[in-house]
Amino acid sequence: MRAMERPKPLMQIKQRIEQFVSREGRRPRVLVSNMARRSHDQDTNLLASLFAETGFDVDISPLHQTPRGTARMAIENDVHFICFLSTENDHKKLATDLVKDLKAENADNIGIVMGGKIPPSDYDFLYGAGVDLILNSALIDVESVNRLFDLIG
Amino acid sequence: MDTQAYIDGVLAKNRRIVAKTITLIESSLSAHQKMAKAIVDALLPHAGQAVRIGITGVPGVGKSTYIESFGLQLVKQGHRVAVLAVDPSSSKSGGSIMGDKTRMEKLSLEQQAFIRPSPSGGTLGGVARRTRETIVVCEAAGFDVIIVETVGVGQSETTVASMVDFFLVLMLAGAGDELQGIKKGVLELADAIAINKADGNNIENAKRAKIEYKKALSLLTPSSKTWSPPVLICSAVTMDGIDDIWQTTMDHRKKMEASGELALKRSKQALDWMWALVEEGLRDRFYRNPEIKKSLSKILKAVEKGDIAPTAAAHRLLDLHN
Repeated sequence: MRAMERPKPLMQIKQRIEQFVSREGRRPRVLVSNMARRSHDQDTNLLASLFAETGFDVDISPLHQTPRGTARMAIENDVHFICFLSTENDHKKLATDLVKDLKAENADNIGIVMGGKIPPSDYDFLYGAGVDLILNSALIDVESVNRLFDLIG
Repeated sequence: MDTQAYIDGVLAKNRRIVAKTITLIESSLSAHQKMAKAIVDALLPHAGQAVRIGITGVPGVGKSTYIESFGLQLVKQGHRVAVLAVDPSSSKSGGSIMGDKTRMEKLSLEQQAFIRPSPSGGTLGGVARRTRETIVVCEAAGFDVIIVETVGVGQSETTVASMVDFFLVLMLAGAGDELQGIKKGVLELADAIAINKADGNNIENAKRAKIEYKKALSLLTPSSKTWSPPVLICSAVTMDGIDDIWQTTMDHRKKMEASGELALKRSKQALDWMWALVEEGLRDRFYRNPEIKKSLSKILKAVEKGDIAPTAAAHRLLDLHN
């Protein structure tokens, strides 16, 4: 029996993952960090499952993680990039602190991806602070995954 | 980074380099594997002193929460604890979700702890291919307690039991038929059984389950003359009984050391390690063999269509490999 045909863009992503694996020796690995102060965050879990379904290895942080805790976990698990959602109005500070904490540990090669409700007027600031990619929602789609691969090679 | 930089970094207890070394060890690229082999060989003389503990249990038994409490207790006593957890990869997408740390909130921030989840990849049984090598790296980096957590399904228990000194099986009480659902094989591997979640209304159930498990264990032939696996009860939430389990681990170690069984176990494990590598190497060579690569897909199709019997096809493939 033939497996169901995958839509073309998804095939492309699959190919990019395979290329990545044959070059790097492992799957792209992402830390989905929950730095929100809210007590639960379904968006974070959904985002993590989307990454895993796409073929990424996904680490999830404990709740209410600090930027320093996020940096430490990213280093320990040796991920290629960190992804976190902005839920309150503190994304500028979180991003700046995270960049600083990664740098302090000599790990500024780890990419930073942000998503959630981020006003476009903040994009320049965030990119300037060292964020590598901003998603315009709390989800990933084919386009954003492709942009991610442009980022991590 | 060259081989020496990895070795120096691990010995200097540099967290980032320990992490990078584990990545290298788990890599599927042969260039990485060659480097990893050289690094592990150089680190081996610095390893071997840690207490190696394997922890298993069915999903939902509270492994991660148990390790959080257990690990914090050890850190408080001055130990340096490394936790290696293996998470199953999806066979469909190949991706995986490693969420153990979500339940190790405090331990994951401890300076004296190191927690590294690994995707199981394609390996059967869910043990990452390289957990033994990773243990060596952690020991060389000065961690004196190594905890290997397994998924608790499939054959991973046997594999993990063959790389640790003490194998702890976590169980639940109050789920009705206590012995239903666990394989006798897992009980045979256990150096101790701990009934977790013995708190609140569940304490009485846990005590009853303890008697059941004791009976079950008494039917097994003990694998050691000096040690019969005890059944303990604990709660990772109230911390009751957590320290008893560590005392039991130490007691086990003392007795095994005195009787020479620990040394014996470790040398048997060295053989297990060797055979695992030989088998993996054979499989690798098979798939890399140009003759096999040439004919494999044709033979697979023929078997699928029923043109060749599976037995005949297997023989043909093995002959091609020779």
